Order: sequence, then C-alpha cells, then structure tokens
Amino acid sequence: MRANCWHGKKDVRVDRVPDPVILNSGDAIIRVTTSAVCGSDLHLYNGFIPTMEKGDILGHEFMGEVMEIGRGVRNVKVGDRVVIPFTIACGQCESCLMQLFSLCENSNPNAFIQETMMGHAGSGAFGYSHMTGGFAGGQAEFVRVPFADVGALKIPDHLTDEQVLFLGDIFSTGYMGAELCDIRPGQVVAVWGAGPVGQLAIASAKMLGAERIIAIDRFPYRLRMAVEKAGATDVINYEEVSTLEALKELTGGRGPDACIDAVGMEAHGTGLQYAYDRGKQMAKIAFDRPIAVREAIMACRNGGIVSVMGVYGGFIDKFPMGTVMNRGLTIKAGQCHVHKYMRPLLDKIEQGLIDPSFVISHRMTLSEAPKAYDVFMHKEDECMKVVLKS
Amino acid sequence: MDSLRTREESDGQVGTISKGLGLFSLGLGLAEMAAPRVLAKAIGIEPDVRTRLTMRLFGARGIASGLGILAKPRRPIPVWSRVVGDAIDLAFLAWAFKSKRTHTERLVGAMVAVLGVTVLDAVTGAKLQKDQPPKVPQKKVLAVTINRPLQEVSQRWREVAGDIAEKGNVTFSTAPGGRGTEVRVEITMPSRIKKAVGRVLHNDVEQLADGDLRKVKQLIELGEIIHSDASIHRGLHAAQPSGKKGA
Ligand SMILES: NC(=O)c1ccc[n+]([C@@H]2O[C@H](COP(=O)([O-])OP(=O)(O)OC[C@H]3O[C@@H](n4cnc5c(N)ncnc54)[C@H](O)[C@@H]3O)[C@@H](O)[C@H]2O)c1
Ligand SMILES: [Zn+2]
Ligand SMILES: [Zn+2]
Repeated sequence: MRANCWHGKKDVRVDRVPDPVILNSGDAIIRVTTSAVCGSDLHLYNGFIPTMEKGDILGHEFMGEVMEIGRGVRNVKVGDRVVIPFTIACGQCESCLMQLFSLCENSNPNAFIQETMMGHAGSGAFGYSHMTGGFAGGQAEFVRVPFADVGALKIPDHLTDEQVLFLGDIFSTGYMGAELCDIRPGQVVAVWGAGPVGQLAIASAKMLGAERIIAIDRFPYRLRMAVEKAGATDVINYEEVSTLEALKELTGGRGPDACIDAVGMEAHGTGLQYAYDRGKQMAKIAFDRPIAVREAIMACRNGGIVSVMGVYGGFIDKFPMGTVMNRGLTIKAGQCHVHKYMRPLLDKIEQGLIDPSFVISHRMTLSEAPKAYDVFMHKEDECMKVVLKS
Repeated sequence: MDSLRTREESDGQVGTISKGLGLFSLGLGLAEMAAPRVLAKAIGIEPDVRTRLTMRLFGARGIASGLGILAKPRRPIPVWSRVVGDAIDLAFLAWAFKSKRTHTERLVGAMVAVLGVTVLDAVTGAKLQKDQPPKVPQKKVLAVTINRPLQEVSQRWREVAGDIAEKGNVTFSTAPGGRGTEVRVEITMPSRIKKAVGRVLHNDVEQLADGDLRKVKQLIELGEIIHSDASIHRGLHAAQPSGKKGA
C-alpha cells in the first residue's frame, strides 16, 4: 500500500510499504477513506518530538471502512464505516474504566521510554513516535486498529466523512479543552491559538454556554473564522497589541474565567523572550517554546482555570508558578480522552448543533501529503485544515 | 550505624598509612617535577636531558597517584597504582647501572629505599583490598498494579509470568480500596557496565523485567500481549507493517 512516511525533519514521503495484517485478536484493518494533517503532526514534521524512526507512518486523524477483523472483535463488522480515536485504549484497565483513555495502561508497548522521560507513561497512539508505542498511522491506504471494539465509532450513512472525521481528534480535543474549563453561564473564556483545535474549542465553549469568547492569534484569516464560523465574540491579534493588556481591557480588569492553550510547544512570539525560547529549542536545551501557556497563566482571573490542550514535550522554564500558587489557579491538561467524547459529539453533529467541517480549507489526495504538510506548516494560501482523500 | 562506626575505627590505621603514602607520593612527585637535576644527582644518576625528562614524567605519575590516594584513602586501586610505579622506578634504576657515569653507591642506596617503599605500598594495598566491604548486588523492586483480585492474580502468575518468575522474588498485595492487586518483583541489578552494555544490545535487565511485568498485566487483564508495528521486532524498527510490500 502507499503511506505517508517520516524521513526526517521537514521530510515526509509517500512510500510503498507492506500492507497491515492482524496482530492481536482485537484488531481491525481499515481501508482509510479520509485522513487529516493535525497541528500535532507539525511537531513531528519540525523534528521536535523525540523517538521518531525513518519510515514511521504518520497520521492519527483518519476514518474508513472495516476490511477485516480479528477473532475477538464483536462490536464492528466488515463493511462498517468508522471513525478511529487517535489514542489507543484497551477499555479494561483502571485508567480506561475511569474514562482516562489517553492514559490507558496496556496500549503502549514502549511505556518504559515515557516512564524514563516523564515519570509514568501514557497510552499508545497512531503515528506519533515510538514513545507512544510505535504504531503505524493512518495517512495511508490501510491501517491496523488495535482494540477496535473499544475505539471504532460506527457512522450513520447520512453523514459525510468530512462532518465526522474530526471526532477522532481535533473536535474531541477542542471540546475537552472547553469542558475542562467548567464553564458556567456568563463566563468569559480566552483561547490562545485560532488553529483548528482553537476553532473547535471556541465552538465548544459556545455550546457549553460561555458568554464571551476571546480568540488570540496573529493570522487575520484565522481570527476572522473564529468570529464568523466558530463563535468568538472578540479577537486579539498579538502582533498588534499586547495580549495581556488587551485581555484586561476586554474583561474589565478581571481576566478571563478560563484560558485555553490551543498553541503548544511551537508557539510564536514577539521580542526578546521569543528569541530566547527559540534559541533554547534550536540548541536542543529545551523541547518547548512555552510562550502561550505562560501568558495564559498570567492572564487568567484569580481562582480561574487554565486548560492546556497544546502539546508539550519536556521541561519548561520561566514557568510562573508563583502566579499559579498565589492566585489560586487550576491547571488542567492532557492528550484528549477521545473515546469519551466521540459518541456524545456525534450526537451533537447529528442533531445539527455543530458541523466541525467548517475548519477544512484544503482537500488533497494521499499522494499530495508532503505538499499538504508544507502548506499547513507555512499557513500558505490561508490554510486552516487539510484533509487527504485516499 | 554501629557496624559502620566499628568498620571506620578498625580501618583507621591502614587509612593513616595510606594517607601518608599519598602525601609522600605527592611530595616526591612535585620535587621530581620542580628539581629533576638535584634529585638525579642525589640518587647518583647523570642529570642529562633524557634523565630530567624521565624524572618529570615519573613526577607527574607520582602526583596523580598521590591525589588519587588522598581523594579516597581507603580504596586499594590508587595504592596499587603506586606499586606499579615503584616497579617502573626500579627498572629505571637498574637500567642506570649500565652507564659509566653513574655513582654506584648512591644508586644502590636509592634502590634499597625504593624497595622499602614498594614493600610498604604492597602491604598497604593488600590490607586495603582485604578490608573492602564485599560487593553486595544491588536490588531493585519493580511494581505494577493489575486490575484484578489478588486471588486471581496470584493463581495465574505462574502460568503467565514466564521469565520474570525466575528472575526475582514476587509478592502480591491488595491495592488500597481493593483497586486491583499490587505485584512487586525484586530483581538483582547488574553492574553499571553490564547495564550500559545491555542498553546498547537491547537486553537491559531492568527494562526487560519492566516489559515482562507489563506483559503479565496485559495477559491477565486482556488475555494477550499487545503489539505495535515496531514492538513485534527486537531492537529498532520503523512504525510500519513488516510483511511483504502490497500493491
Ligand atoms: N491535547 C490533545 O489531545 C491535542 C490534540 C490535537 C492537537 N493538539 C495540539 O493543539 C495545538 C494546536 O493544534 P492545531 O491543529 O490547531 O495547530 P495549528 O498550528 O494550526 O494552530 C496553532 C495556532 O496557534 C497560533 N499561535 C502561535 N503562537 C501563538 C501565541 N503566542 N499566542 C496565540 N496564538 C499563537 C498559530 O498562529 C496557529 O494559528 C498543537 O500543539 C497540537 O499538537 C493537542
Ligand atoms: Zn492531532
Ligand atoms: Zn486501558
């Protein structure tokens, strides 16, 4: 089959590779019909996530048709149209039973790598380095899906691929980002990053009843979409004004009740601090450029919540712990527990409450994956989200 | 605590001698470096360029041994390094007999002196060696919680544990709140060198045991071991299927 493989920094290629086969009784083989490039893929593309190997198949946001199932699979059958969560979960360990699916204790065969780096290990994930298990990803013609009974979500025929694809990652992630904010009516939420995750976090915050939602980014087309499509009430272009000052002004000096970081480790910034963080990252002293999360903490209302959906990899410095402690902030974070959100969010799509496909700006074929990465990475041609058809 | 103090006291004497040797080594080394000509004359050797250079090199060696001993007076290895040095010194002195310009009486005196120190070095080294605490292999406890009742886990352990059952002592206890069974396996850690080699060859004992324990958890919780496209291979493999290339 053909698959989009990682070959090094800014080097992905569509290679011919062996077809997947069933390895475990809970596996299903899926023929991928649509996949997407995620902001998280850019961290791999830019070489910021360790433990990648040449030839790793990328892609963790995908859906398709079930071609073959292992002998233990009960809930899906050949021919079903399914969306797959990007994290892999067994459904039976304590974490899974607590619905903390991205922390599944059984799905990451390379758990020891994360145990060494992070203390304890998270779950396996598709196409996302060897510290999340070394699972082949879904930017491919076919993909093996472990624990199909637990993860694969059957999609009714009347919904298109594009309407439901993001249940497997960014819609669930955006929603979790907003849900962690414990939004009550009348509240103000600020969202750093108006990329696809940010857009869907904004749309979710709106569904959850936030009264004012402030989008922060530097790309006018992204801020425009935040208002026109996602439901932001205000925008801040941090290249034109100081985010912290603008937020004080917008919130009458209080600060947002909750702040969502939908930027992550490759934040962009202005001035000396940015040069400092970039230098450290380039010298490989630091994995992350934690500009957005620092700012979110500083901006948050006393006693408020900071919800971190942007991905970070290592240890960050100049972390305003004094602010967190003295102002009684709560920080919540995590890889999305996708399995928990897919079904209820599918219901919302079916009820017509939301159509997450509004973020799609580019449609390409699997063969064009290298170009897709390049365009998405450089935000060329007002790129927001690229989907790939196989 | 008591046994520790006793050991320190009984070691005191050798420790002092060893420190003395360290200071002597350092002092002589510095003298050889600073005044090779004077020293050469004192032991009856013609202080030509070659001799002076040799003396300086010996001096550097003596300083290194001395510092080594002073840093860890109870370790035998730095003292043994002196014994080796003594042997080289003796060989050098013996060789010097051949030269006509050598002052034989002084040279014999020097050799006797070096022999004396050699004996002291060797005796001290041997004594320190004997007093070294026996190497106790390092133990480490690896633990995992399996989300099943204690009875089930302990009954199934033999059948699923495989290798790890032989590698270490296992204990089971019910986790707080009855949240599964805590399994602890005590393994013997390899030496640091063995560990480093193990890392490179992908057979590090700790990592393997940790992996085995996870597999036991998977076998009991799920009934099978979970594979990724990379993990079914030993060592590194790209995250892509490994069969023959399809169409
Ligand atoms: N937690 C999860 O489960 C999960 C899932 C999917 C994606 N993610 C992460 O979410 C993040 C965003 O993903 P995306 O697909 O939207 O990517 P993206 O790159 O399209 O979006 C990031 C946006 O942040 C903006 N930005 C950069 N620096 C900023 C700053 N200092 N202040 C405000 N905005 C800034 C960029 O201009 C861009 O629009 C990534 O880190 C991704 O890895 C996390
Ligand atoms: Zn993603
Ligand atoms: Zn699990």
